[in-house]
Amino acid sequence: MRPFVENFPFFCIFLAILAGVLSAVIPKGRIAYQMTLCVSGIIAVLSALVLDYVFRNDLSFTYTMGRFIAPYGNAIKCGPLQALLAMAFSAVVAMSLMGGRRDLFHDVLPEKQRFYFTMVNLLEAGLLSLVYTNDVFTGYVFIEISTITACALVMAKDTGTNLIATIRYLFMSLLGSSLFLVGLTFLNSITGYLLMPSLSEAVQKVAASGEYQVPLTVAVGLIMAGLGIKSAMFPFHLWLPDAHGGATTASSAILSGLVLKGYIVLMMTLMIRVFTLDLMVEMGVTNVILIFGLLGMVFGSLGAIREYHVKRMLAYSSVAQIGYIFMGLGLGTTAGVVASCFHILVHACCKPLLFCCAGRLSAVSGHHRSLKNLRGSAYRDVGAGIGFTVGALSMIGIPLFGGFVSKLYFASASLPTNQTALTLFTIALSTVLNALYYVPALLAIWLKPSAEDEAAVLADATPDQLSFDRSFTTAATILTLAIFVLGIFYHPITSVIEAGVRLI
Amino acid sequence: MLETVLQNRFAVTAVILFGIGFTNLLLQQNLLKKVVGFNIMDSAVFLLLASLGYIEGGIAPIVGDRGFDPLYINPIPSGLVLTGIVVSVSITAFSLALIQRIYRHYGTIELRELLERAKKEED
Amino acid sequence: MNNSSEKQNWRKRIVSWVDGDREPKDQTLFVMERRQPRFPRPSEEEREKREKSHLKKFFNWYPIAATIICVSLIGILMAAALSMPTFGQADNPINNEVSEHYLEHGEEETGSANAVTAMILSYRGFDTLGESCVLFLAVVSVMMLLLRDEKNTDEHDLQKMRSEDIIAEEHHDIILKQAARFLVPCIFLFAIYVLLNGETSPGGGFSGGTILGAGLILFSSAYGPGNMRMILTYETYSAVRTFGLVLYITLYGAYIFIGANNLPNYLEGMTLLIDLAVGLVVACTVYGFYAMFARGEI
Repeated sequence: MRPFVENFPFFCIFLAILAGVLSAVIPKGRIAYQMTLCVSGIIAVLSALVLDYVFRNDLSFTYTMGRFIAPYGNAIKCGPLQALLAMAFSAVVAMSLMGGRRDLFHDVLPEKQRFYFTMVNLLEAGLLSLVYTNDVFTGYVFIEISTITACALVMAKDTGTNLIATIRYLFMSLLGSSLFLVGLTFLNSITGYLLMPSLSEAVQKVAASGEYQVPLTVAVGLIMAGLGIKSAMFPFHLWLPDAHGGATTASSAILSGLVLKGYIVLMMTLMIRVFTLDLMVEMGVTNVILIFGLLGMVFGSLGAIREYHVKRMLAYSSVAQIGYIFMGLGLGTTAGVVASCFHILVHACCKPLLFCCAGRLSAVSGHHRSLKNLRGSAYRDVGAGIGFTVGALSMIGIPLFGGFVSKLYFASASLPTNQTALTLFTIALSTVLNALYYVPALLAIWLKPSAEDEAAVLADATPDQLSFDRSFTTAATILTLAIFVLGIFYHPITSVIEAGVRLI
Repeated sequence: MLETVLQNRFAVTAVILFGIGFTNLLLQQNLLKKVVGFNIMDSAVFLLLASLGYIEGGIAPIVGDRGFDPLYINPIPSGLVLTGIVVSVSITAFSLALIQRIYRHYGTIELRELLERAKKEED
Repeated sequence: MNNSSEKQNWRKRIVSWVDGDREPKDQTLFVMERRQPRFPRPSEEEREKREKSHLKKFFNWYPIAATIICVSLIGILMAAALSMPTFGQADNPINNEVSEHYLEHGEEETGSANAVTAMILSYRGFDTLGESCVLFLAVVSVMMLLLRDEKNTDEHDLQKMRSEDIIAEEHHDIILKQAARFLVPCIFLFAIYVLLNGETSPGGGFSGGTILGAGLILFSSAYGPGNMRMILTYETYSAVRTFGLVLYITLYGAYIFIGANNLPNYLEGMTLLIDLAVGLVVACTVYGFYAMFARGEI
């Protein structure tokens, strides 16, 4: 008889799936919204309990899905890292929904709102499963679930440009998941296993014997490329600005903050648990990831500098931040992976905050999006202004904010490797570039425009858009606090992550 | 070389099919043809998977009263193919619905024209 | 005097930089200089031309890059395919103890003689649950797109649909109707047979459900949506679909809970029920696709 707390990861996944199925028959969108918030809250609490249990006992456990032990039946595996990520992800889903609540009910037709919440709940289930899975094929199925739900979140706004952005996103994702599936097929053909522990043993055996060297290399390459495409690794990021920039606020926040991370977490799990970092370094995979990560950091920022549409600017900035995460993985050391995990958390708090604040700022400016029309909007909703400022400063990497700590960890992780100079230089360059687009945006929202400009902008805003938005302010406050917590009390969190990576 | 090709004929066919599908998905401008390309690509993967499980002289893995004497094929790839097909059907339906809506909205499904129109709309 | 005008100038410059209107002259902001000046606003035509040339550039290099990617990918895959384990050999790495276990102990452990059914419903049931969710999601997303609402339907579409209905009512399609009268019951019977025999023969929830859905489609197209609504309204449709999936999720959840905690097995004949639930979900999905694409309503 196992401890009851070990059932919680499985409860979380099933709760999210059940909530998703039930929201499709709830007639009122608002009720579905409240249910989704409740479910996310419950999942966060359950994950916190699991985190407490695994961290205190310093263990990670495998939970068989059914009676059959590995390698015969499905299983999920939970350690400190998985529990932490599950907690953060579900909390951020709730925060994003709260932050984008008004835009959400404004953008999505009333009779389709319940379907939107179905998608959100199942997306959460998909993300949780990607974090927890101990089976590569389960990983594939839940990748597809995440793909469909993410596309549906983009298209929920239902304008022409949205539909086009969705179909581009969908085709790109399909490419990614097909490559992943082919890679999986090759891997399965030379090892014969799907569960990660046995797969790992078989892969080590194949790598040592050298018999199927070519299929193994191809399989690893395809799996990494597939997941890379789906998480907008640098050369494959072209779909992202349209998809994330054009969606409704809550969708943009969830997509940018979480969905990309889900695939990265799976990639990380595969790299460490199945292929092991040593083999990855030996095969040169880490170097490739490192190079693409560094390129992404620079080119994502350059793309953002050229944008004047605030949400698209934030979307490009996501490309750069994803580059940071890949850089950490590409270093090929445990310290690099820890830094990446920390950055996943930081970005999962910052980006939803920035998107929600940008959505709110554009709502108080009559739904204008270009920075020019947002001038002085911070005074119309001070909470959104402060939230945007905190998020932007954290992205730039000012001390006391979360982003600084992750940059610190990236820098110190790069010291013992061979690519120290290159990595440090790119971090510095990227910081400067980040500042170059966030500072003008900050100045734009805090500088008072001339009276006639302001009047012209305000003419498009209705009084109820300008009124105080309670749920947004709550969400923004919580996310802002989270950024400070990550920036100041980071030590306990990194020790959890270190334990998690050790026990992955 | 030729012998290897003949031995692994299903894998080779699958790779060729996959290439056709992949090229279609990337190079076609017509959204509908892209979907067709994607379907070809997925069929190739299923062919590859299904051929992995075959054992020469094996029969369908329904054990029943026949006991364990006859040689059965490997049931795992068959199950995986089933899952893959379902996923592929769902995604095809989703993309076709999207294309239908796009056609109703813009009157065209050529990606190039659509991108031009979308750019114009955005300004 | 001079100083204050200088100050004014600076202020102006910063303001214009913030707006992204004009390039700053400051060398430290070199990157900003690459931004297109947006004031005075280029005329509509100029903008359009610029956008077009951007797109043109994209469409010029895109095919070349795509071709290179395709050719190299095919090459890589071919190399992998040629060095894969030989086709059809019993001692390939994929034929290991897992598949043997499924064949040998499948029947006693799960109660189904068909090893594939045993695998997808019991051993790797979580994947199958995910798969059912994918189906459910596909219907929901198709509904999000095509279920008639103010955004995707106008008066013209409704008019067209009504006139089509009238034509269909006036012109009786005798062959279709008579054939459907014989075929629909047979199809339903066959679907139920396949559904119930998934454990011992090829078939099961997915195949049976698809056949059931096909029967519904035939009925709907032969007798028209009006008659279809007498047996299946939107409410019953979503109720059945939700019931099927919720039944599946709760049963399978209980199954996992019992299995993982090593409780005594209370769910002996569960496979059959799960098969039925899956069948319902699949049938609803198949019919839902048809109805959404054909009319935008159930």
